[in-house]
Amino acid sequence: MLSLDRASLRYGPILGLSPTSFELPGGGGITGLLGPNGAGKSSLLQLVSGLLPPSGGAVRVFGEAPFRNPAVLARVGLVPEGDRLPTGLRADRWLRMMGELSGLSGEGLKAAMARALQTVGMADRSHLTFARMSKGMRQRMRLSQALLHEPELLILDEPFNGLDPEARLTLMALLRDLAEKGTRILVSSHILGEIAQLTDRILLLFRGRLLAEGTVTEIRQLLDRHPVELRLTGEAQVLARWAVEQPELAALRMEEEAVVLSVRSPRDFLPRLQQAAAEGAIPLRALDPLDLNLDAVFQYLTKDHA
Amino acid sequence: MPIYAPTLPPAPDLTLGQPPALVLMRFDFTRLWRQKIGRFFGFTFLLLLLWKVARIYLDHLLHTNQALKPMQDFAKTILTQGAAFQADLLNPASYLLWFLVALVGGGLVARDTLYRVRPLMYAHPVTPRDYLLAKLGFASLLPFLILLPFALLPWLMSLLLAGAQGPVWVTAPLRLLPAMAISSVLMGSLAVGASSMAATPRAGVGWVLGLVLGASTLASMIHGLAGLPAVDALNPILLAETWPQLLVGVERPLVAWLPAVLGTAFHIGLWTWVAARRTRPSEAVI
Amino acid sequence: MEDSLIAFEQLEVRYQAAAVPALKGLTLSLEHGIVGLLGPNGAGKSTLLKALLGLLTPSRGSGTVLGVALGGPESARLRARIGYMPEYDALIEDASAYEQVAFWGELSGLAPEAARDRAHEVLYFVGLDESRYRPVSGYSTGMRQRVKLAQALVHSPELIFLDEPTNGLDPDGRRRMLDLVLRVHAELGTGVILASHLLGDVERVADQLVILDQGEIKAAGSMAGLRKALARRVELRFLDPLDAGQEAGLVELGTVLEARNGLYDLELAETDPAGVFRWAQSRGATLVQVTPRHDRLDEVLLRALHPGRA
Repeated sequence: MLSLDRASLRYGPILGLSPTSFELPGGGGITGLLGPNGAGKSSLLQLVSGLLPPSGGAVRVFGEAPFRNPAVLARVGLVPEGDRLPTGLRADRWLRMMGELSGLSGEGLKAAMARALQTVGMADRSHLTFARMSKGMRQRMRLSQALLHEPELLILDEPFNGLDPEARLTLMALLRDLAEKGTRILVSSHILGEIAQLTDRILLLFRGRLLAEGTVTEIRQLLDRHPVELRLTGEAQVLARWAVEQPELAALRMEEEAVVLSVRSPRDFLPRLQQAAAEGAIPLRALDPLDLNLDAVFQYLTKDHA
Repeated sequence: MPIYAPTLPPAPDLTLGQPPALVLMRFDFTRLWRQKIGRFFGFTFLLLLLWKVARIYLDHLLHTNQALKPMQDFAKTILTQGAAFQADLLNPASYLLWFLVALVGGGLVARDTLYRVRPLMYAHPVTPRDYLLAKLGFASLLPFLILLPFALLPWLMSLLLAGAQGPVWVTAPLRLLPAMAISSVLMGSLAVGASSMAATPRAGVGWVLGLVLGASTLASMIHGLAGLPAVDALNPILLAETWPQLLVGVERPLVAWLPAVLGTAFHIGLWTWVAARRTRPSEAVI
Repeated sequence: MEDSLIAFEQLEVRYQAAAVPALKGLTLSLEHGIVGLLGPNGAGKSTLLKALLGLLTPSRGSGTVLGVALGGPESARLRARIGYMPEYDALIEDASAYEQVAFWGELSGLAPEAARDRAHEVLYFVGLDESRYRPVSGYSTGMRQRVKLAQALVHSPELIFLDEPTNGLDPDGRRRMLDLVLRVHAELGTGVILASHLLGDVERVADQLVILDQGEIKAAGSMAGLRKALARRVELRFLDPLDAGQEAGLVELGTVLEARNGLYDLELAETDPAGVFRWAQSRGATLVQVTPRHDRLDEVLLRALHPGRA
């Protein structure tokens, strides 16, 4: 559905994206595009949404190059970064204009607008001017604009920036809903927690390069240089006595009512732990992998490449 | 041997500081120093000052040197004398001084607006009055300090060369210093008022120049068309020049006493009011 | 009163012309610590800040901040005891970090020499080294945020108000900024009020929480008190994705309430955690996570903002 083959982007001498290859399968689902500022997220999205041609390599969306290709662009919806809208304009008039730009007209346009506004939950408030809307409402209008032509691929660049927590949660629920109905969504963010809440599939960019691709668990397992940290809650003394006899143990730290273990090759260790707990050999009440989150994965990855 | 933690030492004393207005004013002077705007102006003002001082010496030579006796009458016709001469000590720098005030003063308030630091100042123990006082103080002190050597150096020179008989009156500073103070405050309030209306320092410079030149052009136009000389009292450039003349007692000053007092009070009042309104805390929302 | 950071009793604050008060009868008591302040835009956060700084006088009720009564004779001096890090870039672009931090210190009442010494110390604390002598206009976002933090700390306030301190920072920058916030409280003993749109930030550093909406307090209290552990609820994650048969078998453990991105939220039928391990063992799945389910911060927030909807 979407593939990059050694595609790169330079703005004059400035690097946007180093040659990058990956493939995104079809069907619904959300993919998070992660990376610090200047990592190349926007560059990648500009290539995929056909705003710019690649400086080298090839970009394929639905099997064709998206740049200046209406056949592809008609199937892609884009919500660009930022919050710039004509403040004095009524939102529904602006939306109609965007629909006309997409080639819709008459009853078709009306129906599309009603549907898009319904989806983003702005049907009863679209007569307001942008100046009278909150940031969250404006962001939903910007999303409705991308949904008018019912795209199969929806691209959002930093959509959560500046939103308050509730607006953030509303938007996330909206995106999850769209994904369940079969839209493929590509969303970029520099805030890990947001993406982690939204999806498990990530693309990680760093310094213009693609660093990793997959689910957090998958990526974490590839990082076998770094032992996995596990917190075992229960009687600390007993747990510790059991843990020190395990060959995979790299380090152990005692806490009140818990031990934190650093474990090499969790694939060997975890089944044995599970067996011991199931047999009642150890008083294990909770098992918490401390670095199986996006934050830790990101930190390991960028540290290795710094 | 004790080991000290690598963290901040205990709280310092918060009661030894200087008044906020003074701190703000000092910061602006440091900035002026750093910006190096002073080089061109410093050089030009120095030349002007040298010319003023040289004239005192020339005057002295004409009076004492017998060889130059024949030239004395001629010199008297081309060089100003008496009261006009005293007032003229502060004069030729006028346009240049306005330009400097616009250049420096234009950014005074506008820069804080652009960087959005004013709300943060009001979150410190700084009141809007402190702020206004500091800005007005700085913008008025600047022209005053520049004019100071013009008032004092020729006077000192004249005293040294010829004593009480010199071309500069012994009492001249008593008249010139208050005149300078009034003109400086006029310049300062205009600059601060104009700067408070601008969104960027550069626009502030434009505002000051526009206001000064606009008001003077308008005043001279009305003067010319309606034949009302009193309208000149709205011309800030003329006002600044007229105060030394009035206080020294020139026979025919640029603007008469009453219009000068009214015009100056109007300008200072209006621009201070504008600046006060534009720098209120509510205007700069936290 | 010594230990309390803030104590409000029916505090009402209104702007002169406004018909509706901006803060409507807040009753609130916060201990010394790190307080997370949540709420939509326009909830009254900046009004609260102005009230804390003694810039607004309460129209009704009473409040004390750091033991000083608001609206009382001492309240004007509160501003010297509070540090404020604004959300936007309130930096003097043409001055160096050192110069402006010293300047803000002087404005808070430090003597010139003391302010300069202090500026150096605070800049080391926030981790700005050689670059402190360059004008801040060339700084990166992370460095700018540090200058803003240093500015808020220079006069060693007893309470600092941080408005969106991680705005615009990338993951690494955010982590460092939050570590700094923790250090400010742990090492300097400064009380912190942290206003943020990012629940993750608040969750990471705050020990108390205030949720503000439309000038009213919707929820307040200690983080642990607000985020209760839910009885018999666990979250499970497995080393490899479950196949359909295994997933269907989860009902033997209890009710599956939610399954998202490989994380299963269950209400267990029995309370013995060993049962979960036994189930996995019998089904040939390997558990990597078995944790009791607590209220998430987003759930706390939504419940507080929409009490009817739950």
